[in-house]
Amino acid sequence: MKNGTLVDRLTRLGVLVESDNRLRLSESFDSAIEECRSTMSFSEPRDVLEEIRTDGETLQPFLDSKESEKRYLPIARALESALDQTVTSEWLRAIPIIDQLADTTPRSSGAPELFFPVHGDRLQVLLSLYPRSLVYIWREDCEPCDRMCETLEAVLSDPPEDVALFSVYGPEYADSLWETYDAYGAPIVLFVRDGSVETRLVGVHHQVVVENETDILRNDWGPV
Amino acid sequence: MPVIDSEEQDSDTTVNRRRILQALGTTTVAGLAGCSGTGSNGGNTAGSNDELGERVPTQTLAYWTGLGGTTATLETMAPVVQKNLQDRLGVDVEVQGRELTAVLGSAMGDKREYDMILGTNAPDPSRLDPTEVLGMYEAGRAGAGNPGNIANYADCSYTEFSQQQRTTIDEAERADLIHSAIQQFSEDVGVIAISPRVIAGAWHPDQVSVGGHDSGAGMDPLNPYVYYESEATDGDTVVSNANAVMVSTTNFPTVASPRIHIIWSHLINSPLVEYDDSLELRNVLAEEYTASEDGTTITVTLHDDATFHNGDPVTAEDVRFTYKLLWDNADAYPQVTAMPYESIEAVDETTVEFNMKNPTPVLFTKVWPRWGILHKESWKPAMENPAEFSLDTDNIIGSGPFQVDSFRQGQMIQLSPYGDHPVFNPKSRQVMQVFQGSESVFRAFQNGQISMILMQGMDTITRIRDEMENAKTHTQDSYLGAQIWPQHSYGATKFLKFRQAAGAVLDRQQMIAQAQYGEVDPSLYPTIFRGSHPSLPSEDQLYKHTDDPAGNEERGRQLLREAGWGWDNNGRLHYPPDADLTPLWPQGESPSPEEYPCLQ
Repeated sequence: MKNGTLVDRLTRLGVLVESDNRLRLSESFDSAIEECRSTMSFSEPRDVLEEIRTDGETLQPFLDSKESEKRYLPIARALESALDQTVTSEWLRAIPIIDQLADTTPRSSGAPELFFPVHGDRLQVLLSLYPRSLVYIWREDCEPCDRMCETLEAVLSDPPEDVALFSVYGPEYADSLWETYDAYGAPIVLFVRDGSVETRLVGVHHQVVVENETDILRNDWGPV
Repeated sequence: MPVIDSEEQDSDTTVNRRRILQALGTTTVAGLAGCSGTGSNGGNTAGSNDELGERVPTQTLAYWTGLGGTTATLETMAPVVQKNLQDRLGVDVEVQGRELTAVLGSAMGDKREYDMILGTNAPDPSRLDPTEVLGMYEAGRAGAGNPGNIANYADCSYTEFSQQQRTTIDEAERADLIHSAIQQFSEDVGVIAISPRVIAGAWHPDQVSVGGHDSGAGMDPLNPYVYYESEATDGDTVVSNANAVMVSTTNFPTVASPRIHIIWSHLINSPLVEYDDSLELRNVLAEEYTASEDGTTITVTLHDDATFHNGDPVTAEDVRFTYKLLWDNADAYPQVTAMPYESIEAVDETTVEFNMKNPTPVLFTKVWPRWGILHKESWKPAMENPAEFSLDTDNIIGSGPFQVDSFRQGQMIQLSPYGDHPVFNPKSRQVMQVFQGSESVFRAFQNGQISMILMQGMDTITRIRDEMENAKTHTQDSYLGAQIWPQHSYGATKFLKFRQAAGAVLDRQQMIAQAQYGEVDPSLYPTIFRGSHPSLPSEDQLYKHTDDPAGNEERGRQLLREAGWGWDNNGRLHYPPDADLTPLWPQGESPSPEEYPCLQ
């Protein structure tokens, strides 16, 4: 399934609505999620999973806590209904993205254009779904952040297809970023492989350093 | 990028299409991420993912540019450092050359743009007293908003030793404190030493018999003994090269570079004491000096036969005036550190009493050697307008062994011996001429226009050796030199084991062979001071990087391995799994008194 296809498919299904080059969740799908949330039983994960057509352990990333189940499983159920088919792994990434869209969009004014803004307390689930990702943690009134943002935009002006790009507004998620990723302050760039932080750049770094680390993330295990 | 103001931000539920495309468009593996079989480290030498922490990211090594021969040396050394760290420790390194002021400004402000800085310290004779250099690494200077500490090294034991020695009058006790500070610094690998600087020069024996150069101070334009003791063998004049700053102004206290002092504080004027060609402190205009038991009163007796170039006696009043001028106008004079004094008294014609607020041993080991005694009548107007003052260049009156025949600002100065100096008796005139760049110096020397050239790069000296068989050359290890300043406050360089390992694997032999033509021995101990510096403790009291001048990869790896570091299957270095990667203090802040009690 190619890049444009997934977004286009979600738009055709009425999950996403586009206007002026911006996308949002449709009201109908938002309502569908809420209805699923209110009618699903979360007492046993097995019971919930039986309500969703899915193959095997596809939804396992969303089952590590009750909070996670309540957040993501209704979306999976609503998506299944919209698709009218089994929720397969190809649709997996759409679930946390839809979740982000269902909420107020996180701050993004200080993040590079192509970095998808996410709520920091939901980062762990999101990162577990991507083999390679960059997370840019930033804050306002931060001159090093401004410089690092420019560097990231220069390095990633031609967005890689094999690395997901996310941004987090650090001050709003300071506790969870610290607890989960030992990340304190800004700017910080996390280079994440299969959900684990492989390395990080703290503070301002030169373009060649960011390029080198991005290359390592992309190429160390062979081209994708 | 669409602008979203804060109000709009609070209620916005839309996202730029390109961002969603990027997030949804990345390739996924079939099934769950992580089930591809590669794991997060792709296998590793330690055997399991749990045994490796995060990978050490690419390190940035900066060196400073725009400094002629010094930059050429650093530019040659930097790729060797890069290769050694990459090949031997599995750490990628990016090398960045930037102007000195930019690099220093970044490090001194703890901006964390460069993980390591490759640079040198200049062998200024005032640094033969270690106070200035030791003070640079005290904890109170580290971090943002503080005076600046190029390595952002913060250790209270070190800081206390450094501070205490400043006010310890007893020489033996002071030496012990200095040694303790240097030992602590070496144990902490405050710097990664590479080599001493080379002080190199050349001369034409048929034009000059060079003296004062081969007892330790070398052919350095900061060594006045080369000028005192070198004699013309053909005619009565020795011509040498000068740095433009040396003849930039007659109002020399306003100049930031120490290079100007050779002319104005040693040749044209003489100080009370100075470091000789063996780097030992000796009396010049001071016949003797004593300190009171509590070290706060220093009494100086001048030679009673010392005169200025116009015959005026050099008196206690001239000494009093000189130091009042400097210390009361420290804001205008960048090389002056205002000393906390109660009074300076001219007790009689030849006796001066310095009454200091605290014991101040640096007065005679660092301050007096820096400043020549000025002719009060000539310099009195400077007291009112220190920044704008200038001397009448047709009538420069000094206290030194040379008097001024001619001064052409920015170009040249001509000096002739002053026969009534109480200590020195130079035999020949000195012409110190400015040339633009090392190539023009070489050409002028080759053409016989210059008798002797001082402080040249080894590339010039090598050319002279190759192309001018009748010329003589001399090289000397300096007491300061080249090193890497690792940033102690954050990142991989925060860890002692990493600094130790980096220091162990460097091929100093190769760097010296390529950058310094093999002229010096490698510096194997992590100190700023090098072998000839009088303050160094014996080597057995210091931590040693390695015994191998070519570096020892296995030693470096062993140091890391023992501390839990490891390498993945791509050969890249990883932190220990339990490594605390948080900086010692947040960027933009400075060490806290809670963590560093010496700052309370």
